[in-house]
Amino acid sequence: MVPSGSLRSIAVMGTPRRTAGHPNPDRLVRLRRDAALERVRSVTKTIAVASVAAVAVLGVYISRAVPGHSSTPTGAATYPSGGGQSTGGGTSAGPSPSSLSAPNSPPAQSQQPTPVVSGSS
Amino acid sequence: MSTQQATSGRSAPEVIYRTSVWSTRVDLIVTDASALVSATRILHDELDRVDRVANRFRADSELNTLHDAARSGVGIEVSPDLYEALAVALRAAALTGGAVDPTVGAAINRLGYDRDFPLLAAGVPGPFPGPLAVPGWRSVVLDAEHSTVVLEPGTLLDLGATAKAWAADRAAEAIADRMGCGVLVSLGGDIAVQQAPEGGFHVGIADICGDPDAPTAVSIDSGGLATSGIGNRHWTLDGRPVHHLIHPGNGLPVESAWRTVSVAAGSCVDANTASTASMVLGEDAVDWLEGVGLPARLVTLDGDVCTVAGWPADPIEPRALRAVPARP
Repeated sequence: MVPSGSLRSIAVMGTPRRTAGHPNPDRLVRLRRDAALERVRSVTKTIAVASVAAVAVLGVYISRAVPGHSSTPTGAATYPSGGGQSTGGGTSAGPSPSSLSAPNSPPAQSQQPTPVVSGSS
Repeated sequence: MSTQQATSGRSAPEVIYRTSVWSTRVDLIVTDASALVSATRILHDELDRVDRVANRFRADSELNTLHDAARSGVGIEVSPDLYEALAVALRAAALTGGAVDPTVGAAINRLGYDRDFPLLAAGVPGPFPGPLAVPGWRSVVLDAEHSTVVLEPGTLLDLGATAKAWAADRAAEAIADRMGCGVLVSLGGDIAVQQAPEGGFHVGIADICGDPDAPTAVSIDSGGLATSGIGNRHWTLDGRPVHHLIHPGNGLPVESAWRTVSVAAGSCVDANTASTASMVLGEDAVDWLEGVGLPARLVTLDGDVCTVAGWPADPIEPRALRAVPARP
């Protein structure tokens, strides 16, 4: 037994086509509507992608611009940091990683005898 | 061998003890001559403690025990001393964006530096290794609550960039606390100072530790001063010159813009962290040092000197007074 849906399909397929010189007005309307929707979809997609990119760029900019933020070297990304685990897995790693400590005062030039010499060893 | 001598021409008398540890020169200065013997004992106690936990050339060191145990990839409980040494090393890595990375152990072994340095004098046979990034400092996981360490299997640690300076800081602090006098401890040119006399301690700055013809000198009154460079600890591998400063990105000796970098900081560890990082960073080190506010003197491969963040310029004329020579 043939399903009724198949019979409808055959009936539609059997409808004679209209000639190219006389397009169906309904079909033209649908095509114009579809084209317009496609343009809207394209514009919406472009805006969405641009928005995401702008937010990402702004985020990076802000993270670098906030005073007191990380002062790690600019080349930090070139060094391996391992598997991305946080040191200590939520527990302390020991000394605070806040910053390298500056001396109380910078070195002063000396003309005194120097019993100790700092150099590579 | 060790020597003792008194310096002259100072308002405060200083007494020096000099010896050699870890293939490098050790200087201890105290401002109270009567404290020297006790200070020397404290110094060696501290050096022994660090040696027992962090010496990678010592088969029974706790570091090598950790390497063996860590092959299973599970957390290993360590002593407070090793835990602190590792925490100091990871802090240095974090503060330098990974430029100073303790996971370079396997990389430096591939270059032949897997034994005491004097044994490398004759050179090491090849082949010369290719580039291979180190595991990375974040692969080392510390758990302070349980004093455990997790290493990725195969990771070897080299704490050389921080352990020596950390030992200098510990020794200087212990001596000052217990003896109540001014102290300078220098381990291979990594210098820690406590309770400096008026006018500070005077330190020569040169490419090579202990060079009696140091081209410039500074005085420091607190914290630490360290110099990193390629002038001393180098050898040949397969006939090619190599040195001990490893770039974590490729596991090979850094090709730095600098011959020597000297940095002053609030501690010897921070000074040595910054000087080592500067060697790895190359030309970017100038801006970075300015940014973190650490006074530094950088010497290019051609010998040109650059000073930043308040480090005094080199004298135009050669220094009139040279280093005090070591007594034989």
